[in-house]
Parts: sequence; structure tokens; C-alpha cells
Amino acid sequence: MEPGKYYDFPVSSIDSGKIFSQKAASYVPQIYGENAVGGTQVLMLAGVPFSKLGLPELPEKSYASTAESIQHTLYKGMIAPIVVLAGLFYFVNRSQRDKD
Amino acid sequence: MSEAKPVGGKVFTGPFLFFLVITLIGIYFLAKRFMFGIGAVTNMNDGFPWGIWITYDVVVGTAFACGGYSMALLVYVFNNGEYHPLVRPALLASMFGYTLAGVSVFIDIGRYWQIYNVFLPWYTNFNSVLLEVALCIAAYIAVLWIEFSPTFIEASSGTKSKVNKLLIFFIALGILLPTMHQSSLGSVMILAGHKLSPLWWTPALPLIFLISAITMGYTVVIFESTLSALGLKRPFETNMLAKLSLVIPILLVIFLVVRFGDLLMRGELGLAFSGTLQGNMFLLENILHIVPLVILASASNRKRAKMLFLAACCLMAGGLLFRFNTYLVGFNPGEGWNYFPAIGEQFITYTIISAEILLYMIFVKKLPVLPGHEQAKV
Repeated sequence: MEPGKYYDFPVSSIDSGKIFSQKAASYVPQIYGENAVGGTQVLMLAGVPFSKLGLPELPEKSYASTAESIQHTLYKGMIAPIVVLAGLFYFVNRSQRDKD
Repeated sequence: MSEAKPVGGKVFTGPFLFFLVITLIGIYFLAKRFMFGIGAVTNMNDGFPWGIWITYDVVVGTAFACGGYSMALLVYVFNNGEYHPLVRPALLASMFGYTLAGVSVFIDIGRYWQIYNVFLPWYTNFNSVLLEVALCIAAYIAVLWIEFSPTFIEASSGTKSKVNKLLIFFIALGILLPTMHQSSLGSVMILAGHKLSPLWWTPALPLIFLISAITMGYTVVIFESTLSALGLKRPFETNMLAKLSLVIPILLVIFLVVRFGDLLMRGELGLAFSGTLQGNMFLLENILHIVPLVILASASNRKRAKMLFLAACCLMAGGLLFRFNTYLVGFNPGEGWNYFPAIGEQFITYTIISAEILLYMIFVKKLPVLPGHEQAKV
């Protein structure tokens, strides 16, 4: 929609047949919340920059997915922890043998 | 090497009674919490769903309880058997630190009677960082009691028990588990995203938390050893501590390089000088890391009990502040939310600390924990 141009807007419901012609107001061409932190359930349109409404600027990648990819890399199939445990067992055993 | 011996002596001393009184006041607030709910004693709210019980009792508490972990790493993995006399007291403090962190979680959880669900495998969510922390800490508490169990056996039988293969497995597990959950305590705050100031929010948070936890472990060993020497009128273990304390500046350099390297790479260091509360707390936190680094970098300082203790105190304050900053000060859930711990809430935390000190006092006097000294016989 172009700001300033007249558009027909359906009233009551989309198929009501009733139409209301109105000038489109100027707006920020962005749907806030569509892709933010992976996409949220709250979508917003605004006529002023979103930061002026106290809304934080959010990246597209969700923070949970950052934490999840760290966890999944480290703990995939518990292979890394088991290998580390085996290594630790070897070292502890060696240090005890040295003592005896 | 001197064998560990019970210190002996009276249990009911002045300091003991002081901590006992604090514990009793805390028990009053605990009763209130369990009768009327969390809202009756705390200032936690929907913006700040965690307060000092998690930030101090769990996050700082388990970091301060890393003595057992750090010493095991040094003695068993890097094979420095000479530090063995420091392992048992460190393990004891770790055991209480972690056990009481577990107790704190129980107090902090709104519907504590549901807590057993965490341990039911068919409800496990493998994508949850918090679940990993919960299971790891629970497992580690059990491992610590097992690792400490030879002390009970020695106390009752009077003979030194031999380390068997099963115990070696638990010692190894006791090194793996803290590595996992101390780093995950950092991963938890990655989830806070934009609510956490960029001074603390970084994907490197798990690594920074882990390095800090290991550093805290050695620091606490020095702190505890000095305090036990003063409190129980025992000779200072300065020679051993002097050698041990060399590890700390090395770890601190790694910590600061990772911390500042990460900030520079993300271009967020400017925030430190913004003059805001967060900026100033960041500066204070890092001063408390740099001062002990300067003190301990000098070999002559490392040989002086006073300087060692001063550096340990600074660094513990720094580690404490780093965790408070990450979990509370740097956290801004949005307009209109405030949090400052209520009196009752604070007292429950003081109780946790006091209970730990009380138990430590009883255990070192009754069980063979601290290394025996020739002077003690006179």
C-alpha cells in the first residue's frame, strides 16, 4: 500500500460486502515479530520506528537455538562426555598407581 | 606426608554459636516460606523470576564449592600428589556447598513437591540447558558424598582405606560433572538474549564460566586453608599454598584474554565506560580480577600468608560479582521490573552459608579431614 492513496477496506468481516474507503496512513514497512528471535506469536505494524515504542531490536536467530546448538554440539549422543570420562579414568588410575 | 586427623576440641565455641543463631533466624523465615509461599518472604516477580537464592546459593555457591573439583584436576589429572593433603578439606567444603545448593533449589522451586519429575526419564527434554544443570548437580552431590565416604570409614574403623577401582571411577566422574554443569550455568544465561547486557551476553559464556569456576576452586582452597588455620589455631600451610597459588595468575590471564577478546570482537567494550550501573559494576568486577593477578604474579607475595589471603578475598569477590552481574545486575527484563532481595530472602541465604560453616566446623573436629601436624601433639 502506498501512503496517501485511497484503498477499499472490508468492514465487519472480509466477506461482509461492506466496504470502507480510506487513505492509507504511512507506516514502517516491517512486520515486527514476524522473524524476530525465530518468529514470535505477536505481530505488530507501526507508523513510527519500533524502537520509539520501547520494543527492542531483535536478531532473527533465537537465543534458545544458540544455546541449543552449543549443547547439542557438546553432548551429541553423549559421545564427548564418555570419551572425556574414559580419559579422566585413565589419568586418575595412573596417578594412584604412581602413589603406590 | 602427614595423615589426615580429626582436629578435636570443643564444638560449641563463640563463632559456632554466632552462626547457630543466624541459622535459627533463617529457619523462622524458611517456615514462613513453606507455609505461605515464596511471595511471603521474597521480592521475586514475573520480571525477575530468580533472585539471590539462585544467584548466590546456587550459581556463586557451587562456584565456591569447586575446590574439590579443581584440586582433583590438579592432583589426579596433572598428577601432583604433593597437594593431596589439601584434597580432603576441599572435598568437604565442596560437598556442603553443592548439597546446600541442591537444598536452595528445593526452597526456590514454587511447587517443590513436583521436583521428582525432573528425574523421570520419560519427561526428559534433551534440549533443556536447565535440565542438564539439574541432573548434573544432583549426580555430582551424590558423587561428592561417595568421594568423601572413605573419611567416614576411616573415622569408624581407625584404619586408612585403600583407594579401589570403583572410587577411581567416581573421582573421574567427579571431574567430568562439574566441567559439564559449571559451563552450562553460563549457557543458561545465553537464553536471556537481549535482556542481558552485551557486557555479559556472549556465546562464549559457557567457556568463561568454566574458567572462572576452576579459578574459584583454587582461590577457595587458599581462603579456607587460611581461615581454618586462624580459626582452629593451626600452623599456616603457606609453603604448599605458595606453590599452589601460581596456578591462579595463569588461569586469570586466560580468563581475562577470553573475556576482553570476546568483548573487543563483538565491539561492546565501550559500554563499560558508559557510566551506568552496569558499566561501573563491570569495571569493579574486572578490577577485582586484575588486583589478585598483580598480587599473585609476584613470587615473594605468594610466599606471604597475608598477601595470599588478600588476593583470595579479592578474587572471590570478583567471581561473586561476575555471577551477580550476569544473573541479576546485567539482566533487564523490561520497563517497570525491579528486584532487591527482601530481608527474609536474605536471611535464608545467610542460613545456607551459616549451615555450611557449622557443618564444616563439626566435620573437621570429629573426622580425619585436615592434615595432622606434629605441633598439634604438643
